[in-house]
Amino acid sequence: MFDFSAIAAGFELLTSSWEPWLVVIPGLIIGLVGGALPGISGTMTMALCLPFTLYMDFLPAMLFLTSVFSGGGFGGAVPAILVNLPGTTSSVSTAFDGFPMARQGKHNEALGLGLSASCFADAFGYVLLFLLINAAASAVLALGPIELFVVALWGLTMIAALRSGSMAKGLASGAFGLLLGTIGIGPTGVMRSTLGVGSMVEGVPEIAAMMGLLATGSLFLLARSSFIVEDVDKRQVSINRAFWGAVDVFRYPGTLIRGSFIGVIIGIIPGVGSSVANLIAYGLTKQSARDPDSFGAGNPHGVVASESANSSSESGAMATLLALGIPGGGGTAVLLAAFAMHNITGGPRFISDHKEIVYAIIFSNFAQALLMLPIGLVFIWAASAIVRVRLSYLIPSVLMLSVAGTYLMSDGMAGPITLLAFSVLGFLFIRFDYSAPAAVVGLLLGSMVEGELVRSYQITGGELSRVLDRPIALVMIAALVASLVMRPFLAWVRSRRQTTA
Amino acid sequence: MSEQTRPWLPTQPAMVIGGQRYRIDLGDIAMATAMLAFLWWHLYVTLSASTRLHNVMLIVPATCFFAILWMLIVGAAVAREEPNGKAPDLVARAPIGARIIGLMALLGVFIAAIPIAGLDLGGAIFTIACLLLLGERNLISMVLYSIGLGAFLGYVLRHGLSSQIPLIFF
Repeated sequence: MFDFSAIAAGFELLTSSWEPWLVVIPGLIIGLVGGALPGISGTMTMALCLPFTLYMDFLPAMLFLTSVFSGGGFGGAVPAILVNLPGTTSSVSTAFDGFPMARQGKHNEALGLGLSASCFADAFGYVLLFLLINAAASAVLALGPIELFVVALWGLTMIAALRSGSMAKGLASGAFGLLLGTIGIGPTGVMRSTLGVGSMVEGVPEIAAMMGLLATGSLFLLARSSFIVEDVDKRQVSINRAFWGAVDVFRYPGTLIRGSFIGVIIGIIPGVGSSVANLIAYGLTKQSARDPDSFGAGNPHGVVASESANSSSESGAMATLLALGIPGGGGTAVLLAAFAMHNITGGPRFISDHKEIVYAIIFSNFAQALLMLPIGLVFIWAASAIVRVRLSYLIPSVLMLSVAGTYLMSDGMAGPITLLAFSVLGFLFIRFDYSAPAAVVGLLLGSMVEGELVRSYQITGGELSRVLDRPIALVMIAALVASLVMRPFLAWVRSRRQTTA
Repeated sequence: MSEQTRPWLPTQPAMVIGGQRYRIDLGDIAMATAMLAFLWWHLYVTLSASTRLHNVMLIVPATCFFAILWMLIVGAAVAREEPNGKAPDLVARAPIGARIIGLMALLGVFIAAIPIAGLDLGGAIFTIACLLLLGERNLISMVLYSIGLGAFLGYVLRHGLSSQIPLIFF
């Protein structure tokens, strides 16, 4: 199970010189800032930093990029909690309860909770990766397109079906998003609903649409208020309260461990990653809670579940990258590019030939998770001053930043135009009680779901009975059906109890 | 009288079916129907492009699923009116308000003007307009903040990120 000589060699690589560590703290700070800037994201920050790593040796380059990756993982939670603007797709469900907590004046606690959940899950994920790197490499090969199709649909139905309010509208939002995600070039190479616009060939610009649906749509509603936190007494920036919020994470051990575990498992699956992990962890936490209706209104469990899952998914994605050379998402794709820049090929050969480097990367990431706690606390203290800013100043600033960010991401006007259209749609979604998060998840997963469905059809030849041969897929289908029928079933049980009482 | 205390909203006209009065949430129905119409159009374009199974494998069932949900949503938007004139099963929504519509319009104008005014100058003008709309009246701080924000963003975009975003002063 363990190669002790490689472990010792990996440890020595990290401790024989302090030079590789010089890049870790700057990397964490750059990642935190990049992740916290809407439209920039941790992945984009990593991509921007990539050229600089050409001048570094392989190990410092990896340490630098993985520290940007770790910092970016939590950085996205800061705007999600403070202004309901997820900096990255992996922080979508952090905003569900983080922002309501901020509106209640608990922004310090929410940020502290998110930070420590992130750090704990990151460390947990890398410990698990250390223990299971060899087993994970072979397990991931067992997942085919059927499993990937089902897991993506599961993530979507979970968030659509388990929201409070109309379940039909939740599912309709998810289906609407899913179909928006099929705009552009299809699996047969046919253009669909692009209106002849070149930038639509690759589909609706996802980041701009996500920012519009989730953030700017709700920013319009904030135009009625003067501050994010209306109560003057609750508008305090306190590193002390953030610290105790961070300590508070241990009041939710079940949620923390479950989120961390889900994150690792989902992160291992290529192409799914943290965007789905945080939603599944959130959905499962809500489903198993005694008070599911309190989710979405500032329940700390929601923040812990989301942040622990998206952070630990990083280690899962690293497992796939190191073991198979397949990037699980944007961040690991940048790491793969860094591999190539240093003439190193990821995959099974990399693990067998450079096991000491693999262990060094795992140990350094564990250390980064611990370092992130004090650095992140100082960062959130600085960032949370935003609750003292008048919304009349904050709203145009965030809108302007969002427009600039979407322009950068799309390298043209497609981003800002998409942002505008989806901002109006996001506002209408809130007004008519549709689920913007479900639509976003559908949009993000649309092309993947369609691709995996087509591949599943090709593999099975259209015979549904072939699904019965795949036990993992059957378990996932059962979970999907359970998430769909659970709420109507519980409502039926409640109504029966009331009738008999 | 505020919208919240009215027994019904202007978008909830009454209808008599079988001697019973019902209120209809037209806004809700319009929203669901607009989404369905868009998806039907998407389905039509997709089928026009290619009827190969691989091309429509997800789109056809997902659109049909949405159509079923549309029926449920529309069904829930029609509610029985009680003798006091209220339809408690329907949601009474607050009016959108001039600020929100104004903010949407300003964002639209700002985005449309980026190729002409740049993100720096256009952004500064957009910020001043938003500040005015949202109730700020301190002219000096408004102007300083807007110029500062536009200049900061312009500098970072041009010199920090080397982007090709349209800018006037950088």
